[in-house]
Amino acid sequence: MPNIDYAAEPAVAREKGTSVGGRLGLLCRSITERVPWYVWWLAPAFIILAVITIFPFFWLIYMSFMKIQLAPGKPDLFVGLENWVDMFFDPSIPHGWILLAQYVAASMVLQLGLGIGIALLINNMKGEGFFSTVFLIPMMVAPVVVGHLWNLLLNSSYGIYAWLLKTLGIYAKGSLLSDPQTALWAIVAMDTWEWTPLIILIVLAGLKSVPKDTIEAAHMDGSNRFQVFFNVTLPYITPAIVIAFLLRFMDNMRFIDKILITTKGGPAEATKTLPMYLFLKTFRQFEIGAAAAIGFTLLFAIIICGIIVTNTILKERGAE
Amino acid sequence: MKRISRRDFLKTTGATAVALSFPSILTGKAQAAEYAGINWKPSADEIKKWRQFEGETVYVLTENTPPSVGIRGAASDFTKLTGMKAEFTLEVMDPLKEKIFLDLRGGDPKFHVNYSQPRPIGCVICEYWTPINKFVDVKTGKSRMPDLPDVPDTPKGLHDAFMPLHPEQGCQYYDPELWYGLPYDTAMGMLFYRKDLVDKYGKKFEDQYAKPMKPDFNTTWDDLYDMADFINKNCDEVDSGLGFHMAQNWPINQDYTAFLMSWGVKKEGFSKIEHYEAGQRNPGPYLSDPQDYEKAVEVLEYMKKLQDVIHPDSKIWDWGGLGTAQATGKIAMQMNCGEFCPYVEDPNESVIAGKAGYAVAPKGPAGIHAYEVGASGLSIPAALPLKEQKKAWLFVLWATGPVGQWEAFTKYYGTPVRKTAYEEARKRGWLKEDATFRKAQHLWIQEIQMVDHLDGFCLGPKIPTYSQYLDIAGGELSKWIAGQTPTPKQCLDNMISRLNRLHKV
Repeated sequence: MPNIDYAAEPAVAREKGTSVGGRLGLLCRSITERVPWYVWWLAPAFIILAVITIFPFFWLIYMSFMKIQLAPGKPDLFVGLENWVDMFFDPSIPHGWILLAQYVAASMVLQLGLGIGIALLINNMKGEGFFSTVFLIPMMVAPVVVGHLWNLLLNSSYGIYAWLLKTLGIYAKGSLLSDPQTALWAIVAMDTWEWTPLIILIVLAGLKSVPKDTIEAAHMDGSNRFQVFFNVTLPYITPAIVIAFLLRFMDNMRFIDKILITTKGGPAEATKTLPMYLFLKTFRQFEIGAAAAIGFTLLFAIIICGIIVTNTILKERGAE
Repeated sequence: MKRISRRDFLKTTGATAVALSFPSILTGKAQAAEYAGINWKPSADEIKKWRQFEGETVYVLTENTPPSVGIRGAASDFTKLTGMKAEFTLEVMDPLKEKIFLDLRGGDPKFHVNYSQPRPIGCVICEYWTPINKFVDVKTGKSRMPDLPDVPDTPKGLHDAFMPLHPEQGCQYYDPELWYGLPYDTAMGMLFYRKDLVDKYGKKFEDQYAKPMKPDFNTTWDDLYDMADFINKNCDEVDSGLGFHMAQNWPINQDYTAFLMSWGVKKEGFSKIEHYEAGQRNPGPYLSDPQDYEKAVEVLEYMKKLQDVIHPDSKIWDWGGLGTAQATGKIAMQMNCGEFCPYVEDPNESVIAGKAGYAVAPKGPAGIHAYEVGASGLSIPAALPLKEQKKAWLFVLWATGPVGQWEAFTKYYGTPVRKTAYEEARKRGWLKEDATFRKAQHLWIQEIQMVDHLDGFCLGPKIPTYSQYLDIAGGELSKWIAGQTPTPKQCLDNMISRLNRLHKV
């Protein structure tokens, strides 16, 4: 064995990796050399993100197998698949999914249709700045305030919309929110009023990226306005529409604010969408374990739907 | 210029501070020595116990309803008695429940006093509150801790100081021996009607139906239906003859509970509830008695029939929405909590001020005048250190005591549960029909119901799964009245199967 004086020659010892300190030093140097500098800069953000998203995600899964005890001092109980099995016996779950599907479909069609239409209408129009500012106002109002506002507008005692609907002979049975046939659609209308401007804003930004000379060339080649829109404009603005779609889709899938303010899931369960039921399970019934199972399925559905939508649209664009 | 040394500066400011505080100390002592409220004047020894935490603050988390607005308004009296300040956070019921739960579950409560509405709060989380048995002998009202005062004005014992059933309903959970607080307020259902419409159309109604239009002690639910139907067909003054709070979950459940009791169903239809007032951890199978089942079918049929004559917005009204509907002149009659009387009688808020009349809840086929009651208490978190619990206890004693209750009622229209408040109101001639103190008309009816119709006192089952019960029963009832369930039996069968699964029976 070589007779090395480590105290006298620490650098030599580290180089040869013959001590623990030396090995650690080598490892650190190796990591710092191999990992690019920007990764070190991003690391704190990644760690924080992991703590606030990945940890709760796994905690959510853990809780879905537990009965979370409310009474002080009592440990939470492992209940296996009970919370998951209960979902199959709870009629509020399929009912909530159906209502959520109806709500999301109606909201997406209305918000995207109106948003794209209005954006095309005001694009390059005289007064575009004024109109786009006016259209953005509803989006600036807090969702809870929108719920309260529409509650007043639809109130059959003093709501101007209720009065208007009654006077025009369209609806005279009180508030739209008190009728199980109309309550969900009234809430769709509120959300459409508030969030269509976001679609307008995003699509308008997309429209600004369409090259004018390409459109002029298409016109010169004899294309009519519809052909120009579908063959030139639409491909350019598709990424913007995808972004708008994804943003609104994810938002609608977890939407509860206006329901909570106006109907709280009623009347006759007509607005008890799955997110609303999830809220009730968590904060009204304090069934945290069962709520975790429901919450996980909802999260899973949102992620899967998001991936499917993005892949479908982007594949089509790739094929083009 | 003479330079002041640090030592001199401290001496001067210290002396000034003492000099300034001396009169206030004297004043405080004078205030305490002079303290006296209705029917109660503490002794000098007691005053010392009340003022032991002088200068400190008690944080109260309670519901945003007239009783708590009243107590907050009267809190200067608490400061006068104890030298402590009370800071209030008032919330509507659902956020209140969340806040209380999160505050308690966190293990380090920030609020000294919680509003303990037994349903839906207390029956779920009562174990987070400390039983007050450690502070007081619940039979006599005498303090068990030498440094704490007795419960004020309890010559016949603690239980007898409060209106009937309020200690059991508002403060006991599953064990009748333990009190988790003291009774604080009472929201009691009663019939509000329009006297002016009765005066104007009473004769015509009598000719048509051969019975009086004015509600009285013999009025039945069928009579109420006839009145509403008549008003709908004959009176242009209102949109609808009758309104209910039939919003999904709690409001509609309260109606259902009262109807069940009126029709003679015992213990909310749960067969294994032993102590109805204190509650039961597992209530057993739902509507397992065939007779109760048949009565419940009749109740559902009546609730469906009511839809023909009540305002259609009843399906989304809670107590507040219903109260507003009558105060704005939209409906002629409502079944609502008495605490809305001051609102309905306020000429600045209501278009029917001075036109409203009040009656006990109608009776059902079983001859019972069943009425919903929100009998609540004030409770103290068990996780607080003992010193903080004592501060909280002093507030609870004041707010549920003769003075706090009287001040909150007379000045801010609270709903007292102390017998002394009713006795004093009666002495002053307020507990009668058309008394001059209009905003106390509800107290007149409350007393009649609690004295003459105690068998109709109902709140819904006191069980730990009350929130789930509300969701299941409220949802099914709501679907039934909206016509989404074909038969009342199917509605009940859905409720039975879901509730029995919930309770694993």
